[in-house]
Amino acid sequence: MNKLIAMGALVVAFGSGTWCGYTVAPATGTASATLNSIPALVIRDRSLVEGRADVDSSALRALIRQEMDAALAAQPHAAAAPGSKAAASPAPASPETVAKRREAEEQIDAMLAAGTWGNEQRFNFQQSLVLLDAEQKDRALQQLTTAINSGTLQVSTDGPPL
Amino acid sequence: MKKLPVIICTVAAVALQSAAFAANHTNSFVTIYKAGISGSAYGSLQSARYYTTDTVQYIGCTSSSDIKSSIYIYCAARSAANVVLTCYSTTADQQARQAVAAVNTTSYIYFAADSSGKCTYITVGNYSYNL
Repeated sequence: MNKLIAMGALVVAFGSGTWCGYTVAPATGTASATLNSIPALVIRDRSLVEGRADVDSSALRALIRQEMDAALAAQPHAAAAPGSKAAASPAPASPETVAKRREAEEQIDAMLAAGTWGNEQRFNFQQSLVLLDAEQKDRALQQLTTAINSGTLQVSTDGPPL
Repeated sequence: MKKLPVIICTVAAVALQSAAFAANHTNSFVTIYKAGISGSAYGSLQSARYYTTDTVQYIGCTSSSDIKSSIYIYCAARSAANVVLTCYSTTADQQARQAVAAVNTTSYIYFAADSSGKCTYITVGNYSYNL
């Protein structure tokens, strides 16, 4: 009985060892073929043996550029990359928005022309400012500050003018 | 007779009150220099609010955003002589915005405006002596 167990254990050990060796070992056939071809390559291209290889930089650059272009073209949002002009430019405003902005600008112009700047004007200015685009906003703020600083607008707000 | 200690304590407390608050305090009332439309202004919030006898002067800055993209900062000052100077910036960098955000009751503010009303300089100093 003991002999049977011992033989069984030996068979199992041998079998598992063979299996492990089979799975872990590299595919030596391909590797040896590659390794065997290296000396042939080196012998064929003497520059690899004697020193630095002469690289055609312009060809290499063209190849890199070509690969980069292909990679960028493959991306779906390539046109809207951060920092590009396409990404920075806002979507065109609707006619309604344009009309509202024009109205807001006219209201600001009228308030500034009136010459007095109280709490009501401040509130209306803030309301109008929200509607304007960045360029219009800058212009409105410039008009207000220069009017105050030059003294053409008399400030009577409780607290700051804006 | 029992009233005497109470009176003494009261008098002593009142007398020592100023000593309890004794420390370096410097007033910086709102001052504005103008050169045509441009100019500069400075002052501390505490001096303008609590240490002046007039009810006119103030100084401060606003930071405003529409949440999405653009932001502007705005500073304004009015002196006791009712001279007003304001400035704004829609292109303020992170440092300028942080300076405005740092304004509090210990702040001293200095700002300068060019002829187009744009802020060219903003300084915020927070010191105990402003209190």
